[in-house]
Amino acid sequence: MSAVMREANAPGRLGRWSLTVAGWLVYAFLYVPLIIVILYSFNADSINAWPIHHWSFGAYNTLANDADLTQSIKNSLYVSVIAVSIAVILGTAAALGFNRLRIPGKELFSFAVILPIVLPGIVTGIAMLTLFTDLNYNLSLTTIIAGHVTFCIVLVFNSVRARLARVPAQMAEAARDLGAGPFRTFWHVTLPSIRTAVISGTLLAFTLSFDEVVVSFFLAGRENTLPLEIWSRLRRSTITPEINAAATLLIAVSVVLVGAARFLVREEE
Amino acid sequence: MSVSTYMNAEAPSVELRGVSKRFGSVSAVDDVSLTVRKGEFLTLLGPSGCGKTTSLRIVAGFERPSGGTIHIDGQAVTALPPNKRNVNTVFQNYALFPHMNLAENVGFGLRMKRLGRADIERRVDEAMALVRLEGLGKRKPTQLSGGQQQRVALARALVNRPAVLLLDEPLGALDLKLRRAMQFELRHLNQSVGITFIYVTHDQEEALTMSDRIAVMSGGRILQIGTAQEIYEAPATRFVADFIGESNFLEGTISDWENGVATVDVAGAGAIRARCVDRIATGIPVSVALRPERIIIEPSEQPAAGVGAGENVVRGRLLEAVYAGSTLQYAVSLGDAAQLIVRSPNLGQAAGVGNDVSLRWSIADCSVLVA
Repeated sequence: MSAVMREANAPGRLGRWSLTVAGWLVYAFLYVPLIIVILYSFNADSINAWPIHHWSFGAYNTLANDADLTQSIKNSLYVSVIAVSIAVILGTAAALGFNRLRIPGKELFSFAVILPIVLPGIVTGIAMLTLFTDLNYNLSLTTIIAGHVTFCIVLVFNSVRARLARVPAQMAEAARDLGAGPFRTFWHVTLPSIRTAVISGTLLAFTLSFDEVVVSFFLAGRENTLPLEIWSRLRRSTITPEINAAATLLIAVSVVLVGAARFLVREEE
Repeated sequence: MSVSTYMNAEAPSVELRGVSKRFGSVSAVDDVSLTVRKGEFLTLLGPSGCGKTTSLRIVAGFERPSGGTIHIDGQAVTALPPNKRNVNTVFQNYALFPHMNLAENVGFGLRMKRLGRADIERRVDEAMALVRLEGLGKRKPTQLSGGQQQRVALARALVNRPAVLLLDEPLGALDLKLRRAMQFELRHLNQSVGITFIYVTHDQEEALTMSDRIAVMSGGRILQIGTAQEIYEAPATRFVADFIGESNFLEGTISDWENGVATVDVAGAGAIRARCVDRIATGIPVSVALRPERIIIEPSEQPAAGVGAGENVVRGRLLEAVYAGSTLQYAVSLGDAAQLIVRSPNLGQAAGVGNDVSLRWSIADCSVLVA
């Protein structure tokens, strides 16, 4: 019976072939632009044109010697590290709190934490810009950090909350039962059980923060983050090889961080 | 020895006085008072939702009672958090710490007490030996079978030498054979280490075979507390009679009472005499509880020879005979109104369905329960 069903539902030779092609087309649509950027970053000529005639690391050299671009990378690192650090503490604390909370409307509060990542960046950007303007607070990297914290919290919160849902409540009770106070219970039992979830949330938040444009755009003062620097250059001129080099670095960082996050989550499961 | 220890030497191990616990409008534990003796194996038995686990969690300190007090070894602990109570718990799902190996799991309590490394190592080894898991200290909990995890949980609790060990359906996840073996081991442990055990289960057989005393709970209250024999032989309420083992109930009204024996008029069965400690007025509706294995079934054409003054005899028709291996189970109708289940040892001869049979049982084997 099941063999017959499988036979009936299985695509024919033509169907299989076209499904394969369609699958590859989707991948091509997703990845060809990225691959082109990476390839162009190794282009020795200053104009992006196909095919590439000369290969070199010249663009990376130019990038390293471009004071504004390297400064923007440092700025981005600064913003992301600070924003993510704050988000890790707040997001983890929020997840732990919600895990213990037994009140009606709990999901509503939880949704209120998650909302910033659902809201379009432009809304967050405008809202926070209005706030800082009303407070007469000068825009700077600090205001960008504040903007980034809003959505970085969500990634840590979600990751930790999902893990906590699978950690039996008896785990913490067992620790209390064996003589650990609230702090030592957290340190010896709760924290180790959510450790990889915290790390994976951190990595995802960092990835998102590092290449964030919209919120940063509204909240930036005179100093640019890397994505803002790239974007402002594009307005002035065309895509230059060092921009491709910077973009390639962004891709590399993202792939490594997201990959590490996935690995950590899977390892625990 | 401190003065307080000396003074408390005769205090009960655990004492609950008027303990209640409400969750919102639901009363999970309702005015429970209970005294557990030192070294006793006491079982809280009841169906799910009867308040047995909540009672245990109140003793452990995981739940703060809405009312009442708890004393452990004479010391009031009602307001103390779990880590300040000299009790340890074996959880239903074991709750072993997955990121620690077995030695670290078992040694956790001692580490929290800040004992020296050498002391911890020695006592962990002892505890692991006690549950026959010596040499497995480096394993992770996930590498163990359910039975082994159960024993680690036991070692992790016992290593702290608590005054009271609380066990929350610890054998529920094990298969029948393993459960039997662990029942025996737990009983043995209780007797050898001299620690008071409070054991929660819904499994009446487990309760009967392991406990010094059983407290039967329902609806947040303790209905009856006593030894296995007391509970089984003289159930105080219909619920207890029904929950512990199987019981027949014959409905009738009191027609006489004399010297702890009541006569009950039962439709279809006539006058049945049953144990009844307190006098009950004539005309009051009652049930007579009767265990199926206490009834002797015989073909009715046999003369009722040997029927003593201390026996009830009724006649009925055999409706059904079920072959259950070591026993035979019969359903016998007593007229239209009543039916009795009879369980007899399988002696190789089954009574024929549809035949008239004669049933008899001792007055001492049936008791009157007020509805």
